[in-house]
Amino acid sequence: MPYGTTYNVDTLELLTSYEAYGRTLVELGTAHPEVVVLTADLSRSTRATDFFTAFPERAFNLGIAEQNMVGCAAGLAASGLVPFVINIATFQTMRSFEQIRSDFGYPRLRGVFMSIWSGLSGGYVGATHHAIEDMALMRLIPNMAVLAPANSEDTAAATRAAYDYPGPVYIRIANAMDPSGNEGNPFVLGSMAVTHTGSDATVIACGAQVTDANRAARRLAEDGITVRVLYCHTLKPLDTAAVLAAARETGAIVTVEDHTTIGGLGGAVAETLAEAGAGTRLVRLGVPDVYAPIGYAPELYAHFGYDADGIARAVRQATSGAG
Amino acid sequence: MTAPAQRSDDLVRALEARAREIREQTIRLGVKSGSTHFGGSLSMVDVLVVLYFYVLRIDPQRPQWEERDRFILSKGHGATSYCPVLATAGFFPAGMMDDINHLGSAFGMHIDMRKIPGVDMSTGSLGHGLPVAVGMALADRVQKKDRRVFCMMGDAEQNEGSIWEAAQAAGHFKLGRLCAIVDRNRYSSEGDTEEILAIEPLHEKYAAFGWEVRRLDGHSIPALLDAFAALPTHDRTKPTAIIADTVKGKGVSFMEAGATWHYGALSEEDEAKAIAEIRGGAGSR
Ligand SMILES: Cc1ncc(C[n+]2csc(CCOP(=O)(O)OP(=O)(O)O)c2C)c(N)n1
Repeated sequence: MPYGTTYNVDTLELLTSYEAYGRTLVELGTAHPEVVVLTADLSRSTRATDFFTAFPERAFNLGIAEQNMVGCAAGLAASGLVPFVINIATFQTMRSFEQIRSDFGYPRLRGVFMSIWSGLSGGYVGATHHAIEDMALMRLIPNMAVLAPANSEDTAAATRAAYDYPGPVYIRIANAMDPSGNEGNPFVLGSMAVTHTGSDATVIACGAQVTDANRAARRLAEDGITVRVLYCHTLKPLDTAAVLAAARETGAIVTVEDHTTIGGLGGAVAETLAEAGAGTRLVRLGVPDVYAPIGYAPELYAHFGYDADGIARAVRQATSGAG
Repeated sequence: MTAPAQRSDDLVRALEARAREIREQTIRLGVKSGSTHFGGSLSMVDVLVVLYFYVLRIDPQRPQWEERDRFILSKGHGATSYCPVLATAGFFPAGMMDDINHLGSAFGMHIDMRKIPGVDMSTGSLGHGLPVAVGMALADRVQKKDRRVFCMMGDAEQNEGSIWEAAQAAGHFKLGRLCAIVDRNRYSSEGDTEEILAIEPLHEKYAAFGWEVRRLDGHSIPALLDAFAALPTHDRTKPTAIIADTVKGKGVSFMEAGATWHYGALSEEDEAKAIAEIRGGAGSR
C-alpha cells in the first residue's frame, strides 16, 4: 500500500517524512517482533516516539552516547534482531563511523541507520550540524546501501525496503512533503526513476532536490530546453545503467545534492562516467568544498546555486556550450 | 583571583544585576532567533557572569591576546546566553547579533570561533569541549604560560564517552590549571538524566578519575566566587571539576519545567512575561 502511511488516516492530512517513518516503524514492529529502535536522547525530535509508545520493551534511549548506541545495535543485530538507529545525520555518521563500518559493514549485519537534518536543511544550526558528508561516508562502507528519498511517501517506502535488505542501510531523511514526480510507481531500491523526460540534458537529483530539479525542468521546457530528470533515491548500489544511458542519450549531466560535491551523488556519477569513458559534460551542484555559512535553508540553497533557479541556470550553461 | 574575604556585598550585588541583564538579553535574542535552547542557556548564566565579569583574565579589546584564560562552551547550544555575555563584556557590539540566523550572520544556533570575537573554540557537537580543553592545558605547559582553561559542559553531555577519555587524561597529566564545570540542571533534551542514562554519582566519578571536585549551588554568586577563588594556582596538581547544581530555564517560572523548555519558541506575550519576571527577580528559590 504505497499511499496509506503518508496520510493521517483520521484527518487525511499529509504527513511529514518524520511522521511517515515513525508510523512505518510501528508497522514494521507489528509485523516483525525482531525490530528494535535506538535513539540518543532524540526520540522526540526524531519522532521515534510512536515506536517507543507502541513497543517500549523494544525501544532504547541510550543517552547522548552515539558510539555506544551503535555498538549496542551491533550486539542486538548479531543476536538476530533488526535495529533501526535514529539520529541527527552528522552525529550518526561521524561520531560512530567506525562502529558502523567495522561492527555493521564488515560483518554485514542487518541494521538501518536513519538520519534527520540532512544536508543544510537545518540552515542556521551551523557547521557542526550541517550534514554534508554523510552520504560520501556511508558510500565508502562495503555492504552498505545508501538511500536518499525525496519526501514522506518515499521515506516510508525506503524504510520498508531497508527492512528487506540483507545488509546495513543508511537512509537520509529529507523532511519534505513535495511530490517527487514518481508518485504511483513502486520504490525500487537500486534503480533510478525518470520524473521528467527530455533529451537536451539530464539532471540527476536525490532527496528533496528532486522536486527542485523537476521545477527547473518545467521552467526550461518553456524555453525549449528539454531535460530528463532522474530521481536517484539509491546512491548505493548505484543504477549505473541509467547514468550511462543518460550520457548516451542526452547532451550533458547535472547532479544535484544537498551535500558536498565530493564523494556523494556527484562523485558517484563522475566515477561511473569516467570509468565508462563517456566524455559527457558533467556539472556537480551541491556544497563546494567549504563549510556553509549561517542562513535559512532556502537562502543557503540559493547561495550555493542548487535551488530550482540555480539548477535551471546550470543546465542552460551546460547546454549552451558556454560556461 | 580574589580571596574569599575580599568578596564584598557590592560585588555580589553587581554580579547578580549583571546576571539579570544577561537573562533578559537571552530572552530577547531567543525571540529574535525564532526558537532556541532557552533552558540550558538560562541555567548557566550565573556561572558565566562570575567567570566573564570577575574571574577570567581576558581583554575584550584584544580577543586574541595570548596570555588570556581560555573558556570553552562545550554545550555550544547555550549560545543564546553566551553571546550576550561576550557582547556585554565588550568583545563586540550587541547590534552585531541583530541579523542572527540570516544568511552570512556570525550568529546561528551554535558558536563559531572564526566569526565571533571572544569565542575560543567552535562547538555544537556535544562531547568535544573537554578533550580540546585538555589540549589547551597541555599547550600551556609546552609554551610555559600560566593561563587557565575553563570548560562548561552540560550534564546530559556527561553521557558521551569522549568526556571520560578526557577526564582520564586530565587526571593522569595532573592538569591543575584546568577547571571543568558541569551545568547540573538535571535534564537532557528529553527528560531527567537519571531516567534516561544516569550520570550520578558524578562527584565520585570525577574524583575517581583524579579530579578535585566541588559541588555547589550554581545560582549562588557567593558560592561561585568562593569556588573559583579556591582553584589551585599551580599546574601539576589535580584538575578541578565544579558541579553546579542549577535549574533548567532559571529565572522564568514557566520555563523552570524540566526538559519542556530545552528548546522552544516564545510568543510575544510570554516574552513580556518572562522579562518582567527576570526584572522582578522571580523564579525559583
Ligand atoms: C553529539 C551530539 N549529540 C546530540 C546533540 C543534540 N543535542 C543538543 S542539546 C542536547 C541535550 C543536551 O543536554 P545537556 O547536556 O544536559 O545540556 P543542557 O541541559 O544544559 O541544555 C542534545 C541531545 C548534539 N548537539 N551533539
